[in-house]
Amino acid sequence: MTALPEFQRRFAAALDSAAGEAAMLPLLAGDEARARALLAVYRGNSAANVIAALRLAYPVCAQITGDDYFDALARRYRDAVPSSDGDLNRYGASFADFLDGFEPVRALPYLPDVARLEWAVHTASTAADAQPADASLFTGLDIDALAGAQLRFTPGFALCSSAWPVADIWLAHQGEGRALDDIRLDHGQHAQVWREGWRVRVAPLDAATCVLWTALQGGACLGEAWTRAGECDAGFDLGAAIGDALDRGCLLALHIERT
Amino acid sequence: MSAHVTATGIGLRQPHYAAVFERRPALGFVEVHSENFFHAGGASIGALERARALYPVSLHGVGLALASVDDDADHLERLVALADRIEPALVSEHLCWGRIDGRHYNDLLPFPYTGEALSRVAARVSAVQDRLKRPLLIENLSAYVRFRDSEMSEADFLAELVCLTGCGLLLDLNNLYVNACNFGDDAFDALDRLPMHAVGELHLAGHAVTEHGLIDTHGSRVCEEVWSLLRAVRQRGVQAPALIEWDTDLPPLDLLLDEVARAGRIHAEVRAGDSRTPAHDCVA
Repeated sequence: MTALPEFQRRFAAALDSAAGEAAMLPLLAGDEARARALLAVYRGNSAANVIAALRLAYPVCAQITGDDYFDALARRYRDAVPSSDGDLNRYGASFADFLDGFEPVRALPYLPDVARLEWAVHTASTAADAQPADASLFTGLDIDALAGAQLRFTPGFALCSSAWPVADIWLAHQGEGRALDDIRLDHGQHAQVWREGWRVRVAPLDAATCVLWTALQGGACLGEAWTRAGECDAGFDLGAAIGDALDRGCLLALHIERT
Repeated sequence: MSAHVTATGIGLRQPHYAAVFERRPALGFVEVHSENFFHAGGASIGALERARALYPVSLHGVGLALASVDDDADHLERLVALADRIEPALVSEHLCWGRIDGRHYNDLLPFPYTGEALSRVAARVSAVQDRLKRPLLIENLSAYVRFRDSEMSEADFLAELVCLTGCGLLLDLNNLYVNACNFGDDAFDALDRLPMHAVGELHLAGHAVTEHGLIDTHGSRVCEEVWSLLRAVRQRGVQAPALIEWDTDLPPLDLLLDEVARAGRIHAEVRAGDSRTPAHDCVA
């Protein structure tokens, strides 16, 4: 009799590839040809479940490549990075990194960054619900307190910077923003991801504001983040950036270190 | 707070959310795949909380892989968090494995029914029940392959598991029928061997007929033979709620509600006729 761990390893090898079937077949009851065909059904189901999960997480990538090509990509990704989680909603976090070095998609150089943006959207879609802060967040604070404050963002808030116009590409695939044919690929873009109620929103962001939010996300205080944004763009308007973020519901709370 | 006895429910899937919330059909409960709601927030868990305000909820897991030799403590903790949040009427999982050496195959995989496997599954079911602080319903599997090493039938394995752990059974009548057709078993014999007193839920679903035999697709209406099995189970005195399980090629909600009505009619007919009380003893 084959012990349970050994049995599961042999079954797993048969699921990984037809070449791994040999050690599994003697464990199966009944006709071998039929058993072989049914192992192939299991092999197909296991792959199909993972591919379906990736399609859900990366719908824009699938639209860009076409479904058949996307499925082939998903298969190769699964070979490189197998699922380790019983919850397939968490599968695919490193898909963009995989695409970075994947020769066959070199003709779609923006695809990895679109995937990066989609993972941020996917993650935001299940982030904790939170009540965003309103303008009263800043009332009563003097300039020194403000400069020393750290900002917390609402769950799901994320930034993606790319050498490609990823926000425009993503928005065009939602039927929002610029039409696909009008998108010029000769410039990069910063994208901001946030939750509006249960809906995930994406918008392009100017470079200095992106520097500001990135610094704050990294734990810098507002004064320091403002300085960095100013180094990026001498005309940077802090009040306008914060006003926008409040309007969109990206800010959650202020944290002020007591000295 | 258990689902109303003999109530019939449906699997609640995203394309039906709007229709269910608007029409609020008379359902005994709704069932969802637990893993699709392991989230801190967002639209999915929001919809489930809304459904929970209208119906008892059954959490049906596909990822715990109870017969796997390596544990997944993190997965269990996420299930516990969801159960704490939703306060489900029922929590169920499958009699299967799916994970080995850190890799998850994300499928419901069969294994040989041996004493070794029984010890393993019993220990795992007990641990899960202890953590959830409630009994787990274990579902019989539609399995497409069988193993030379099996020492007992699935029905006998499940009967032993019930004795060892006090778990309940989620008796999937379509799975029973699919296995009967694929392997030439007698589904009614399985009913005789299973402890009917432990059945806490029934699943009714459709399957596909393929060149490899019947495949459990949950993508069509319940077939006549499975309705006969429902009648047989009701005649054995099983009062457990039944679920119309439909996951692929979703039809309009009304078609599901038709199936719900038929399940209810069968129970009413049986109740009006004879009823037997099952008597089952543990072999262990």
